[in-house]
Amino acid sequence: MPNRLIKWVVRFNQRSFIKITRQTLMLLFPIAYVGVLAVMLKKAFFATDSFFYNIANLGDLMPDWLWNGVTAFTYGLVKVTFGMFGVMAAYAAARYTAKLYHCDAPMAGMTGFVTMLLVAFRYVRATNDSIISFDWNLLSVRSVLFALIVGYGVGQVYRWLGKSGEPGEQTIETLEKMQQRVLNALKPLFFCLTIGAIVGALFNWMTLSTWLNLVYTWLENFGQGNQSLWVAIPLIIVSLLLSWFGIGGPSINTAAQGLTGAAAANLNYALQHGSGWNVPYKYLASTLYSSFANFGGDGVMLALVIALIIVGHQPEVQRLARWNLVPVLFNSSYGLMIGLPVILNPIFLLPYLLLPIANLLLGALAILLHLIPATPYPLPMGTPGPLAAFIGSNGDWEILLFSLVLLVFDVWVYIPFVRLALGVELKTQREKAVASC
Amino acid sequence: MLIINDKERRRSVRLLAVVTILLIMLAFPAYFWMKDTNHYLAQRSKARMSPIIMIPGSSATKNRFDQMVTLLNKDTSHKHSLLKMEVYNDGKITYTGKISQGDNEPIIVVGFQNNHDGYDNIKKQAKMFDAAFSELIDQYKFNNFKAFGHSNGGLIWTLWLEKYYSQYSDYVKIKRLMTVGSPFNLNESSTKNPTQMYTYFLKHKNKLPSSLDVYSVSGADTYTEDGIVKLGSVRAGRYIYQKQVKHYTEMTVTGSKAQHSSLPQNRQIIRLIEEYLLDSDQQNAINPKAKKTSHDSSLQNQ
Repeated sequence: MPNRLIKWVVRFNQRSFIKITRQTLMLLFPIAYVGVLAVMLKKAFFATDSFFYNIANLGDLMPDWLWNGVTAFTYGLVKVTFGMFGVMAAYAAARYTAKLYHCDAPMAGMTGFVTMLLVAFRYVRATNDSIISFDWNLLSVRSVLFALIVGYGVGQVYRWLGKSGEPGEQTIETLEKMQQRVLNALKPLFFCLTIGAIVGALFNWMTLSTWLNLVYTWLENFGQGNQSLWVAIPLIIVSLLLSWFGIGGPSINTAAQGLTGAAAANLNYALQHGSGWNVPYKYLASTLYSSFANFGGDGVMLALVIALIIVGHQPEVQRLARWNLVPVLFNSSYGLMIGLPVILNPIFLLPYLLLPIANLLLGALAILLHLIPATPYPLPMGTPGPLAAFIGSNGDWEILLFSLVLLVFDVWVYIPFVRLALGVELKTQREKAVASC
Repeated sequence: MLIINDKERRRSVRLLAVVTILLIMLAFPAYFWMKDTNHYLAQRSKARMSPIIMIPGSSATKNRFDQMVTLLNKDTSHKHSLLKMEVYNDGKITYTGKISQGDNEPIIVVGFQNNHDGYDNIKKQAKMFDAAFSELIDQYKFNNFKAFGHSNGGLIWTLWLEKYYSQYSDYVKIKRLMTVGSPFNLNESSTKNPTQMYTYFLKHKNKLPSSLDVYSVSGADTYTEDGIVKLGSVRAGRYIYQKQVKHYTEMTVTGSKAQHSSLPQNRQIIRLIEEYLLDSDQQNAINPKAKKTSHDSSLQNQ
C-alpha cells in the first residue's frame, strides 16, 4: 500500500505543472525566507500588540525613532518579498516551463513577468503619472497559485508558438543568433500580452479579485468567528485547503482576536470571576483555534519542523528545519509552505487539514471533561504556540502540560508523513536522474 | 547524493535544545506580564467609576467650572467630588481637590498653563490633555467617562478624539460629549470659508467613535452670535459629527446668561448637563448596551 501510494505521488509530482510549481517555490525560498523573518519581526516582536513588544516592555525601552525605523523597514521588506511574490513566481514558472520544453527560457520568463503585471494592472484614472496601480492581492503571496498558473501558461504559449531554440549553453551565442531568437519571441509575447490584457480587463470589470479576497476573508473570519464548532470546522477546513493550494497567504489571524461578541463576553466573565472556568461560551472556535490548533501557524508547522529534525536524514532537510525553527516558534510559518514545499504536496494535505481540527477537538474535549479551563484572556500576536493556551488561561499549569502533550501528539502524527514525503523525494530524484541520462 | 549526515542532525537537535531553553526563559517574563495585564484588566473591568472630564475654554483656568459644579451639586443628594488638574508647558501635572471615596461620578477638570486661543495652541493643548488623560486612567482605572467642553474646550475634545482617542478606545469608552459654545470653524460664520482646523476636523472625522452621543449647545445673545462666538461656527459642528457618531443633537439657549462667558453658569445649561450628560438611573436602565458591555453599570442601579 505505501509503495503504491509512493508511486502515485511520484507520478503526481512529475506532472509538468506540479514539477514547475515545486521548482519555482524552491527557487523562491530565499526570498520567502526574508519575508518570513520580516513578518516575524513585525508581528511577533515590534507590533504594539505583539508578544515580545509587551513582555520586554519595548514601548518604554525603545526610543521612538528606532521603533518607527524598524517598523517601517520590516513593513517594506514584507511588501517587496511577500507583496510582490506573484511577479517573481510568474517569472520563474514561465522560465522553467519554457526550459522544460527546450524553448527560449529567458524571454519566456520576462514575458511571464510582464503578463503577470498586466493582469494585475488596475485601470483607474490616474491623477499622478508617477504612480501606477496594481491589484496587490493578485501579486502577493496570497495568490501564488494564480501566479504559477500565469507563468505556466506563458511557458506553454512559448512551447506552441515559439520556435524551439534554447540559448546554447556551450557555444557563445552570436548577436545575429540572439536577434533571431528575440524576434521569434515576438509572436508568443504578443499572444500572452493579449490574453493577459483580456484577463486583466475582466478582473477590472468584475473586480474578481476583490470578490475572491472577500470570500476568503469571509471564510477566514467566519471560521474563526463566534459560531459554534460544528459550523466553524468545515469553514476552517476549506480555508486550510485553499491555503494548501496556495490561495490565501500567511495571514490567518493567529491571535489578537478582535474582542467582539462572545469572546468579549468570555473575557468580561473571566475578569469578573478571576478565571476561565465556566465562561459563557466555552467552545468558541476562534479561541480554541488560537490556543490549541496554532502551534507555529496554520497546519501545526512547529510539529512539522520537529518531525523533520527527528526523521530527516538529508542534510538539506535538516538545514531547512533549522532555518525555520525560530520563525515557526513565533507563528511565522510560510517558510516551510514554500521551502519544503507543503503547497500542492499531496502527502502533507492530510495532516495539514486534519491536525488543526484534531487539536481543536481535543482541546474542546478536555474542556468538556473539566481537565482544563477555557482560554478567554487576551493573547498577544506571535505568542509561541506552546505558550498560547497557558497565557490565554491566565497561567493554568494543567493547560501548559496539556499543550505540550498535544504538541508531542502532533509530532508523532507528522512523523510517518515526513518519512513518506522524504521517501517520495528520493524516488522522484532517482527517476529524474534516470530521465536526464 | 544522499548521505546520512549525523553531524547536521546533531546541530539541529542542539538548536532545538537552545530554542527550548529560550522558550522557557521567555515563559517567565511572559508569565509576569500576563498576570500584570490581566490583573489590570480585571481592575478596570470591575471599576465602577465613570467620571465627567471637563475642559475649559481659552484664557480660563482649572477653576473655571467651580461655580457650575456648585450649582450641579445643589440639585442632587449625590454630591460630585471635584478634582482639578493643571498641565504645565514643561509636562508637569499638578492636582488640586480630590475624588472622594465611593464617588462613582466625580468631575475632573483639566486646565492648561498655556491657555491661549488659536489652532496652534489648541493642538498643543490636545497633546497636553492626552498626557493628563493617560495619567488619569492609570490612576483611577475607569473604563468609561463623559466629556464636557466649554468654548475651545470642545475643540480640544474634538481634536483629541480624532487624533489620540484610538489608542484607548479598546478599554476606555467615551459615552457622551457635550460642547458648549464651541466654535468649530473658529471665527468664520460660514463653512464656505473653512479654517485650517475645521478642514482637519472634517478630514479625520471617521476616527470619531460611532457609539458616541454628542450634544452641541450654543448660546445666543443676538440672532447670530453669543457675544463672542458666531452661531454659524458652532453649527459647523454638524458636518463633523452628524453621520459619524451615534446621535448628534444641537441645542440653542437664549435668555439671560446666554452670553458666551456666562454659559457655564446658565441654569438651562446646568439642566441640560443633568439631563443629558450625567448618568441617571433611567439612562442606564434603557441603555441595554451599557448593561451588556460593562457589569458595573447594572451594579450601580441596584
